[in-house]
Amino acid sequence: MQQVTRKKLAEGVHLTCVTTPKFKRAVIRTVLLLPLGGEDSALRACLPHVLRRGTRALPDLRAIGEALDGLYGARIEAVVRREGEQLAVGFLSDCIDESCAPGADGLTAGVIRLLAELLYDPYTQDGAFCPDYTAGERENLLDRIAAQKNDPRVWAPLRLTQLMCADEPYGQPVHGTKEQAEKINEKKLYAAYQRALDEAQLELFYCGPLAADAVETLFAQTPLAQSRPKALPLLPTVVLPQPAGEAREVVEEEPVTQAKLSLGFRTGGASLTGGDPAAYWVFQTLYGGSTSSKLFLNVREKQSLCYYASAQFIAPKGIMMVNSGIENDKFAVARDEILRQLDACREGDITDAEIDGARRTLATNWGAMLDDPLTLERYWLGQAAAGTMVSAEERIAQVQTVDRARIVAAAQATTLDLVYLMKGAAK
Amino acid sequence: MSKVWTALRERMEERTLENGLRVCYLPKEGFSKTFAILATNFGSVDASFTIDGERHDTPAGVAHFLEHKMFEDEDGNALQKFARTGASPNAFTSHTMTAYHFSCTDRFEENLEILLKFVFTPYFTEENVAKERGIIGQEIGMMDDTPSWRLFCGLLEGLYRNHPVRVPIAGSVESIAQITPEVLYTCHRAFYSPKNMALIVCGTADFDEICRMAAQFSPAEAPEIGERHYGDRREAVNELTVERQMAVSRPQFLLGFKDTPLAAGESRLRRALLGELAVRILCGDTAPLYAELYGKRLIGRDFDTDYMLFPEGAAAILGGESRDPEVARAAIERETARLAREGVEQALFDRMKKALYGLWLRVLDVPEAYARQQAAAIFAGEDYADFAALCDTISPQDVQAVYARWAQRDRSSMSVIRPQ
Repeated sequence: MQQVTRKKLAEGVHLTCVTTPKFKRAVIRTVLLLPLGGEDSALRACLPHVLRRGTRALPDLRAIGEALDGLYGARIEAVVRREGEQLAVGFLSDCIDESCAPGADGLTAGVIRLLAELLYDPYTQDGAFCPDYTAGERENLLDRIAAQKNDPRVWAPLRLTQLMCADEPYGQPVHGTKEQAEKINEKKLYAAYQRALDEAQLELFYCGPLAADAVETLFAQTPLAQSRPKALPLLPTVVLPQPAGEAREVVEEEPVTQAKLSLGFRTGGASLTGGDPAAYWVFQTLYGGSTSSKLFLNVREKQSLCYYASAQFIAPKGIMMVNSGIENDKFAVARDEILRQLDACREGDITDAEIDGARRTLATNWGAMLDDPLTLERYWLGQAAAGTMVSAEERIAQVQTVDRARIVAAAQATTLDLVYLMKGAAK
Repeated sequence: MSKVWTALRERMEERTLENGLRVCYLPKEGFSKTFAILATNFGSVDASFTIDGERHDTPAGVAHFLEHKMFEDEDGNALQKFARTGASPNAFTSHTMTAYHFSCTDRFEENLEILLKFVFTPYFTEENVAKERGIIGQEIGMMDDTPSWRLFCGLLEGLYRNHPVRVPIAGSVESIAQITPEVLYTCHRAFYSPKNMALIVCGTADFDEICRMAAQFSPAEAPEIGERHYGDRREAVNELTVERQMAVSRPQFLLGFKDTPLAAGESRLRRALLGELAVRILCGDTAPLYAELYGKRLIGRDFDTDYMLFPEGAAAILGGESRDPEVARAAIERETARLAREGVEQALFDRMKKALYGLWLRVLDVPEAYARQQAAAIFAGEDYADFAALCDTISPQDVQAVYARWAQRDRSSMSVIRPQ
């Protein structure tokens, strides 16, 4: 059994702890939660990458690399993530538990200390970040912004979100814009860093064999547990009402061979914190969430229209997406079939076996998550960002009681907002 | 047979059934899910073989095609049977292995029965083979648009002139058009013999029950495994550079060092550790050269290293995005030559070995990864968890000898994708 505790360590600082003896490793995360979008977007996206370059004690990558090797190959990666209505920036680490190697005593404390140094004690020059590191990471950020289109499977859903939520913070680019990124320098970045430290909620996470109070003690020995009196409250989840009029259709050409079709829907209210999310999960799963779903069976298996066609419920924002890869000339056929299967759900054309299968699939997915500390990290940050605290076990229990009427209601509340086709235009 | 690794807090039960099927159980106390994988020692490289005195040269992509088609049985699709239990099934084909797996949080025995039955029961018709061509054709189209995959395929073409590892795993739209039910039946008979397979269960289950079911649902007879042909071998690479253009924002590169294949009797696991350690010391993300190249923006955080092993071949692989792949390549090759000449400093060697131990240890916590690694280890007559003991046998001199091989003339090839 996993013990999950959440504790306020200080004003603006929370620690979520998942304690279980079954793991040989630990996952530790330190992120700042900030509002999405705005002028500071690119600066914030650049920030953890510059911080990751060096601390006062370990001034360059070589020194940090040496320290990580000494911690039995602990990994620390910069995090820049959209979490519901917030932006998360900071660090994620995974390392072995100190009980699993000879002479590894104090390893967890060492990793937490290093995480604290990275966030609070950066390598600076003349009261700002190192110009060389800043310039390098500004260029890396520009590369990342340009690289978003490299993988069509990743780009199509991202583009759909941007188009569909263009007027909401959620639709703003997580890495900021090219124009913002080009203006980054060491002084502006340092000022943004100090603003972020002031305004952000700090979310700490640990999953591993250590008990919560032991973990708390380790964090308390670092500046990570300091009070943050100016921290801004988190933004609540906003689920937009039904879009008025016909769904929009956007077609863009890219030099790829296979077209990508993405459909964006509004849930009508279901989100992590609103509406009837349990029913929505069951609906989305039997519609397009597994290899026995309506989309898989009809769009892929019966009509061979694609290799993949699946539906995702983005609960932190109250939207649903269907993504697939198709031939250019199958656009209308595939779109109509995807919508026809949604109509079937709306009309209650759902078997008991489908409902049972969807419940079981969800139970397996959430159950499996309990074995994966990296997925647990994501899950609990999602909960924290939405200001809720529902465990996977509770979610599993909730979907068991979902009946046909609630599933049909979820399908009926769903409205198509935008159809995005990325048309293959390769020579 | 039971085996215990006290320091790692791991244990294992292992048995070879009468028909030759190897069954292995890796208990995971406290885990919610149980993961089972039924793997055959048959991958895309095993396309030419002799069985019953007759040589077969099969169309490219046949192992992968077979993987897709196995799910179909006379009484329906196995995916739908799993759906009723809520298990999460999948399969993959690599260069060296085809594997079918599921994870579940309950009804384990029911799922195991579905898995064993569908993998050991071929059912191919002209009609269901034709339908699958459409789906796999779409999958090939998707992979053709994936830069990282094209980059990897380009590297293998550069490293090997004849070896079948240079042929893409899924084949091409043209090659899969030649796949017929007969070809699929022949491959199934040649390589889905229980002798050529292993069943690994990682999680919580009853080992005796696993063995009983495996015996009940696998064929009593195990046909002789076909002899495999991998073409002529040569030490030099095929091409020094392979270039392509795609819709990418920056150049991407993969540099490969062609290594000697496993020698007869050499431990595969030890070679994998040694190769990975060597490539990480050379330019892993905590290595001195990495810091230098990153500082010059010749590589970025996406830069990665790997070491791959397959029948009659081995290679170290490094790469990612770069503003100037040629300059990055020259620096990495210079460092390889220096390490071959001067050897590895003891302190660097010690900390990198420590990190390697930590990385391999973490795999034990990931049932999918652990079971897959154990399947590969079993096919080589080893057990993954022996890595800790093998790690201790590696010396700086061993690593230096690896660099000496990589630093020879014509042992490296680079695959590059440039923006259109």
